[in-house]
Amino acid sequence: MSFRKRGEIVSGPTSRSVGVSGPVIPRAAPGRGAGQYVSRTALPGGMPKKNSENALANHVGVKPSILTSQPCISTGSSDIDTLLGHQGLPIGSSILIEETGTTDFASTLSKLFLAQGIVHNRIKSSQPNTHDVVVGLDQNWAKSLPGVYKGSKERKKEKVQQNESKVSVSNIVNQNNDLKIAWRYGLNQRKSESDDDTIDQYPHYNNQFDITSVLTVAPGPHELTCIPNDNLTRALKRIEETVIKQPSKIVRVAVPLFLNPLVYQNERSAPEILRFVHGLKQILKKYPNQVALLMTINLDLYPRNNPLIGYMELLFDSVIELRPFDPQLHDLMERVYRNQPAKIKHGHLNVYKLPVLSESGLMCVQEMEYSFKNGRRRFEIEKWSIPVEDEEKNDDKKLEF
Amino acid sequence: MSSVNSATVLLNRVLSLKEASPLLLVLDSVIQSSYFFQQELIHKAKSESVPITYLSFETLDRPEVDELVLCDELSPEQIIAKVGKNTKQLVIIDSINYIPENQLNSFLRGIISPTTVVCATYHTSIPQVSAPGCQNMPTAIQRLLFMATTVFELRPANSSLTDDELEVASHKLEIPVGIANKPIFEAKMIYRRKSGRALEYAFTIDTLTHEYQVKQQNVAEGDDAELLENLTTFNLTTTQKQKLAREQVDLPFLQAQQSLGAVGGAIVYEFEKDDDYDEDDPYEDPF
Amino acid sequence: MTSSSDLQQQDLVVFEDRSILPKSDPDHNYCTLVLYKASTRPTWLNVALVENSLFGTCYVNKTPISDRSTAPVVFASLSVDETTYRKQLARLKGDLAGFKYVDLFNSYQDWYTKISLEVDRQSKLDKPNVFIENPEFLLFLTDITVDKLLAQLRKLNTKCNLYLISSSDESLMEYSDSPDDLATVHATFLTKLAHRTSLILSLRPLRTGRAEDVTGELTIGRGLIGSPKKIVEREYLYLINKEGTVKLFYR
Repeated sequence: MSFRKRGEIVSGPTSRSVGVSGPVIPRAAPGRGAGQYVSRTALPGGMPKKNSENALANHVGVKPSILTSQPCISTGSSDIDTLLGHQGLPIGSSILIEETGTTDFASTLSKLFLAQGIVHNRIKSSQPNTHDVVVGLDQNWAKSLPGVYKGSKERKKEKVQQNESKVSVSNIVNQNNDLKIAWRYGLNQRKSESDDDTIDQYPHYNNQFDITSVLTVAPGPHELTCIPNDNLTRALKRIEETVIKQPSKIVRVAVPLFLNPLVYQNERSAPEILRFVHGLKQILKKYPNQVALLMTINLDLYPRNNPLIGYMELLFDSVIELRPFDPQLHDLMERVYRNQPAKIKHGHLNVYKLPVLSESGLMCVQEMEYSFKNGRRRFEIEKWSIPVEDEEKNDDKKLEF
Repeated sequence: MSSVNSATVLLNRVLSLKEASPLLLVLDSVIQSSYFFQQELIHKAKSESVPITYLSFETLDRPEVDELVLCDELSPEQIIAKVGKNTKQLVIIDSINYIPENQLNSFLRGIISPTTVVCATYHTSIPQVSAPGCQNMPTAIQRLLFMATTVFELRPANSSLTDDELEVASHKLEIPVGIANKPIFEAKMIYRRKSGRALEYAFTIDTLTHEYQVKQQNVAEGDDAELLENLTTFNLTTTQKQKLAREQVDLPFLQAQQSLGAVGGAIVYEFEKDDDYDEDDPYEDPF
Repeated sequence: MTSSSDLQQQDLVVFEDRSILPKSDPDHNYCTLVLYKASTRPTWLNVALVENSLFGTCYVNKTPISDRSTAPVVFASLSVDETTYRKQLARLKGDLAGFKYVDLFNSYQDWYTKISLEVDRQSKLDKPNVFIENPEFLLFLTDITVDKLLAQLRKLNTKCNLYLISSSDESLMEYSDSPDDLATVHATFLTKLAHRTSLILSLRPLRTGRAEDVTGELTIGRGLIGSPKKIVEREYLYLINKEGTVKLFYR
């Protein structure tokens, strides 16, 4: 069974039929025929560079994409990993997380992304394997990175058993939630087995974080580099220097709150900003087996019809948007799901670009199709369904008369 | 009709450079570019054996002209110097947009002379910008329109799209396939006589056969009778007699206005004997 | 509603003689504009055009192309690195010796000299087809102006057939009257460029949104100057499917 679990490429160069001469584009939609895993045939991406080969070999936090078999890392949120289609962010690519409104869900995602890196780095203290880079924020901010969700396996199992025996609404709903997502991507099988380390080849690929906690030992400069943003050209240079200094590590670069006036105090011209984003992409492609980038930006200040965002989206490999519900919709949800708090979501999640797929020409825009919920233990993504008010609501109405 | 004939004659005379019109301005867009218009003009000028100088800012292929000046790396002064002024000639400027706005006046003054006819194309689809400090000055297009003696405005022929739709399409650069940039197109001509009186005509120009037709403008007159004709087997149009009768009908609101006009728009309640008026009901107060 | 499943697959045809790229013509250098939206990237089309230039074939088409002519390709992109295209091209069965990649993604300062050197080298064999993806990036990466960039592209065009691939996303076309607005610069560049082209190909998603059986629309339209070879103006629907094959349908 183990080869099934690697979740593999659909069509590698060798497995191609001779008749088709077109460029290979990975499967369009994850989940369609998820059963047809093919065993892995080749390492993609041409010849990896010498030093980065070390970074990848036996790295516990890397696993091949189920679409293209490119090495991927977890974003720290398994639902985002699933959403991206590859079960992670392909190394050498970038994700832009846009957010409307004054909420700051995107920062949670940046923290998860970085925390995942720190956790990987600490698995074997003798062999550090990952390095984090934060642009624009300082070590104090880095202290707030969330810690791994606590609970020994035994206790977890006990709890699960206990909960399963209890028949409560939230229990059923929670179960359904898990199943829904997992089933959609054909992964339920894996998930049920994932507790068992001997079978799962990637036990440390991703962790579950508790965003109310913090990493017990705050990340130090040896595992997290903070780069000031006062001069973007210099910042680029320093990022690249950091990458060069960590030849055998995977470098996770996070640029949270990009252009947020509280973080980016100097006024900048649009070309300057774009040169920075282009420069980031150059670094990613220069070290394609070593670096991954996550950037977050607020759309209230820079809406999507701003050409600056238009250009930035052109340069990113993947783009998603978090659009929190307006208060009315949130109220409605609270009313409708009064008894099922797990069903209350925080907002819509729109997909504009997906790594590799969009680049190949597939149309990946999905607006208002997903919803997200920033839970304590998990950043959940589900298919969006319009909440329907049932009779209870009518009772309320009657009272008003 | 004689006016129709004179219109095509006038167009022919303008294109053959026989009319005294020293500055022809062609307004084109990405939907209908002036490429075929220029070809037509070159064709006409050739048959009149007028020497042509072509000032190229964007044209790659040499058109069939006597002299081609590559202008994209020359200053306006250098361009003026390259254009001779002695003999009768036609100067075609493939795009006047490339002349910096602040040098436009001097450039045109340098090019225009009594013996030359200048034909300048202005691409209207290119965004107009207001340079800092020029906010209250006329824009390039305003100045060109003011100076031009004949203005051609080009649009595709036989398009089912409205002007607004064409405008949106050109703005987004989503050029309608099969409609745009054909060798047969429509041109609206505004010809300014020496007296200052402007004549306005619309033509369909076929550059393949070199034929021009005056475009029937009935539709533009705002009467939709023609649209309704032959649309169905029903008779949807009105005859002259019916129209006259319709106009004589007094509409009721006219009468109503006569009696109430004195009160000035107020709502007046007049008690009638059948009215059921309850003094104690606060909601029934009509005053 | 048309569904692609009940339509017949069509071949990609650009010119009246059923060719895709014009045969090398000593008297005329073509300038073609490929426009795309962010959600419909043109990678597959670029690969098809490159393939057609190198080998005379086209992987999109079912009927083999009888009249094959080949020309070397010089390819440069400012938005995508070399491996992306190399990976796609590796799948074509053939010798990629005629495919020259000029890396403008990593160093763009002396872009003109780099491309023009390569073009001169290739011209000794045959007139090359030169592809430049996202040349508009130069407008903010370097301090070149729109008119200067256009002048240099024209200079390049005197030696080769030019294919310029640019984004026409709505946010980039909503220009204002401010000369510094990125959208104004972008729209000015694209519109001025359009006035120099004899062929415009454009890719865009369906207006109705995402569909399972259609990826987007491909339109083949006349450019703003005449083309010596007659263009078959047409709108296609295209579908890129799971296996990476591309199918075209008439709209």
